Amino acid sequence: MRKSPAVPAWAVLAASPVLLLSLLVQRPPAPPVAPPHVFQGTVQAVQPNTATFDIITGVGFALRLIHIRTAPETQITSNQVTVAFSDIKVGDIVRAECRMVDTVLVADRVEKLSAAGTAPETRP
Amino acid sequence: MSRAAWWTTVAALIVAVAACQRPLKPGDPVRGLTRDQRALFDRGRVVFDSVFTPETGLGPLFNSIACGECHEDPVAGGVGDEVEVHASAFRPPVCDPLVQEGGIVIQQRVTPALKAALGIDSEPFPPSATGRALRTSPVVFGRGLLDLVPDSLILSYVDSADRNGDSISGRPNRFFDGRLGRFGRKALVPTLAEFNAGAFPIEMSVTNPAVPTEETIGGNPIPAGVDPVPEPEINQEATDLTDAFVRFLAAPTPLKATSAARRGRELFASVGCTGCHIPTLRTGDSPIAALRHKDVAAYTDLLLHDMGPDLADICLTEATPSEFRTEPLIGLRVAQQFLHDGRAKTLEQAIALHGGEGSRARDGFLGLSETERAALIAFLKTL
Repeated sequence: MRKSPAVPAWAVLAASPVLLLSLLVQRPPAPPVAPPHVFQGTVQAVQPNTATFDIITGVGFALRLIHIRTAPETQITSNQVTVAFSDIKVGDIVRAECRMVDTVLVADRVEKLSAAGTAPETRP
Repeated sequence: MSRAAWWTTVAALIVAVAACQRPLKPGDPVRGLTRDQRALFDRGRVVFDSVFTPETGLGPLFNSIACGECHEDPVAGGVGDEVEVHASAFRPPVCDPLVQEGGIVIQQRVTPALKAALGIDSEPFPPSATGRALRTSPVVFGRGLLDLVPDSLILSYVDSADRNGDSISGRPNRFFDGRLGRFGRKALVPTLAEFNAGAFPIEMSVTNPAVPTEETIGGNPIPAGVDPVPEPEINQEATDLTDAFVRFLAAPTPLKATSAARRGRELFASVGCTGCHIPTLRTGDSPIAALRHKDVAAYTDLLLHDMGPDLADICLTEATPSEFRTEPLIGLRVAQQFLHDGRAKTLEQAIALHGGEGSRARDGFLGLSETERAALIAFLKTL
């Protein structure tokens, strides 16, 4: 039996990125990350005792009341500054990124966009 | 032929061709649609006129069985004689649309299955409401053009502090998420697409991909078994076709004005009606060439104005009970009842009922001679 020729070291080095890439490509895809539930609406009620608040949003006249819970790790910001849950007031317009925990929407981030009576967003 | 004469001839020909364009009738599509867009318009009209039943998604609460039931006269997209009920609670400065009690729109009809289950004939009126409003069905002609009026143009008419001293202020309303509103009697809804998609569940309880959950019954979930059709009850294509039909409906060309109507148009401006009913708005950019950069005889500023305590009914986001969006006068000639709730049976009555910021124009109208008032009305009937 003829001995197979040795593979030169330079060839291994040259091929390794390709091998690595192919391994990555063949790796089973990561489980999809559930997109956060994003709601933007007017705060209708705040319940400090349960650290929850309700916002109204909807499509046209089809309005929906969304009940959102905050957690100690929820980031609440206004003008890019961290604020407290108590700074969320009825009439504020907020954008909340939430995830569903059991049957409850828990906010990862709440951004206070404007207080009641401030200028509306516009489209061109 | 000299160069000047040649250009004069070309200009005259262009004017002649423009003048010979067939007037757009109520129900016509806008000019310049592509063949595909025209096909969408025609197919959309079929969906618009489709009658829903409980087996195809209607109810269990509803106001109408088809878009075309309320927007039907003289053609699809026109007016209807239906009057619906709205409610909200005004606790200054907060306006509560009473979503938890089934507001804003209180459906007036129920399916047999819901009647059997709950024994009700309509959605219960919200117990916390402080206001009750009646709303007629307006024409939806030209709404695709109004959708494309840039926010910046609308906001340029804002004069909240009445700096020009004309007794007319005008301020914008906004949707719950902060965007500028323009559709609806209180300028609540920012876009036509949302207005249309929201109308299916609100008026017919027909869910769609944009609104995949049923309306509540006074804030309570619907009883099991009364709405067997799985959500969404219509697909995106049906929603898109309906939107295309409404979007492409033209603003009818005003009728040829008589000399009296021409005089009436001048009076309409001179007594101050154009302070709010701005005659022409221009659309902005759009991928749809037929809607892009077009002038529309809208006769509105799409802003809220205080119309006085006699017309006041409900609040809606930032609109107080007495504030209403200036009603577009597109297709006014087909209307048979006037003002937001249809209380005026003639145009004269409608003008006479203007209060608040409309008082000066109203008084101007009432101060005209009988002939002049008739001329102004003749002008309005050309729209």
